[in-house]
Amino acid sequence: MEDYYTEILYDLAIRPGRGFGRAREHRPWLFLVFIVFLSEISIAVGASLSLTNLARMSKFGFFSNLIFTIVLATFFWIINAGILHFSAEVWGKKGKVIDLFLTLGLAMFPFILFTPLSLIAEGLGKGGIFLYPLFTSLILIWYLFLVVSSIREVYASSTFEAVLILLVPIGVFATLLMFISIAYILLMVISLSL
Amino acid sequence: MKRENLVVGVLLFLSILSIVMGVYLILEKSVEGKARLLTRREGVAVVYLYGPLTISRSGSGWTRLLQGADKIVSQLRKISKIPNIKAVVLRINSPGGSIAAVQEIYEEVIRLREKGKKVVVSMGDVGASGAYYVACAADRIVANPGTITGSIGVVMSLGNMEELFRKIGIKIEVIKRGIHKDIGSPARELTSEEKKLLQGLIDDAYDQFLRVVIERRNLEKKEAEKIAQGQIFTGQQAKGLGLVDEIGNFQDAVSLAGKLAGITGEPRVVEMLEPFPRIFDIFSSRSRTDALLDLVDGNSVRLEYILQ
Repeated sequence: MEDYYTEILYDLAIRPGRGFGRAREHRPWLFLVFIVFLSEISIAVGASLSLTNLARMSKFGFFSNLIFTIVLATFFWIINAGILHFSAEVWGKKGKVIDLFLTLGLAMFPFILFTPLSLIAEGLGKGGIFLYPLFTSLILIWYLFLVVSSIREVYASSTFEAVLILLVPIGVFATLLMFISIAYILLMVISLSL
Repeated sequence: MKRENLVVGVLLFLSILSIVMGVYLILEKSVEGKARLLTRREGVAVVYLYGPLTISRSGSGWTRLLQGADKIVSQLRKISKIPNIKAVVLRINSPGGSIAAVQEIYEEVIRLREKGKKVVVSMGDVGASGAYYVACAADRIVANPGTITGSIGVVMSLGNMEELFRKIGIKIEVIKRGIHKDIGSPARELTSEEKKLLQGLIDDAYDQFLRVVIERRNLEKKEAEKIAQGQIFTGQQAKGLGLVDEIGNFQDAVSLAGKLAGITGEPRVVEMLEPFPRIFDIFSSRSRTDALLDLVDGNSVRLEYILQ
């Protein structure tokens, strides 16, 4: 492993801006794929561990879940990069989508802790039930923090602008979903009264 | 060694190790894995037969989930391959179902016994008609004194919607080849010839059921025919008639299964529960109109061993 791989990850944990900067400089694609893949597997295994406390999972169910998570997370990563890049451009920010793609992939690295933390919750038995949502929330917050940092780094924006770039697509999507739901309900009401 | 290398190295190592441990734990907790955990202690598996027994499935394509008889047969097959499971308790709470579904499960239970596993039926509220047919395949039948069982017989229900269609102005045009192709059509009454034909089917299915009861319960034909007129019995009554072996609850059935299998002490119980439901099944539902539609749908023409 190249020295700067470990330095990038270490910086991401301590000084995310610097970590992303180094990543853009060195473009460690293989290392990026490794981190993304490891994070996705960790999400799938951690989630499956918590699910097995609710109901029995068959082997087929677990491996389906694993593949589904890997595919969905990769798809989300790619789409996310595109949407956020578009959002940044709407705000008049200049940057490369490939850099954003790289940094968003590295931003997933907190999820490699999902399985170890799930195991801790699992090990505590009934007392660990409350730890699952807590650990999930902490990891998600850390991930979102890194996403904001990556937007800041790639588009040379302020934190406020980076948060807006992130939130606007979410807001648009939520609004669209709300309108679609209202339209659907109206259609149902109209069709029932006919 | 640089601090960054050490910290990141430890983090990645812990993560990979946790993933390996997590996968091992999940596989051990899986439906199949649970049974393998019994390497030190032999056990008894419990398979649930709840509700009407049918051959059905939910979803389609990769969301397809086994249900009904297919699911039960699949569970029994899995059990037959697990050496540490020495006996099976079929926990039955069912009024019966379609003949094919009942017979498929019956055959699978027989196969399981041929592989050396002991099978004990434990009846809950109801273990009647087709469910009783399945129970006949077991080594022993245990019922509660108040369990409803019996109902040995065959039924076929056909809806005649002729009057309704006339009232609402629906006319059904039938173009067919084969005189009896539209037998059971809801648009008209059955002809006497058709009634004879269907009665023939019913009689054959009934004979199959009666034969199973006579062979499996060691009853005389005359004796069996007397109690196989569709009557229902309590568990207590059924024991007196030789239809049931023991009066007891589920735990009694488990203990009996363990005893028959030669397991000393309290046997370890493995439940063959459903796998985690696929998310798409949450969105599927059966409306009340589906039951009405079944009466008009040709698929409703079917023989059933079922308590109505």
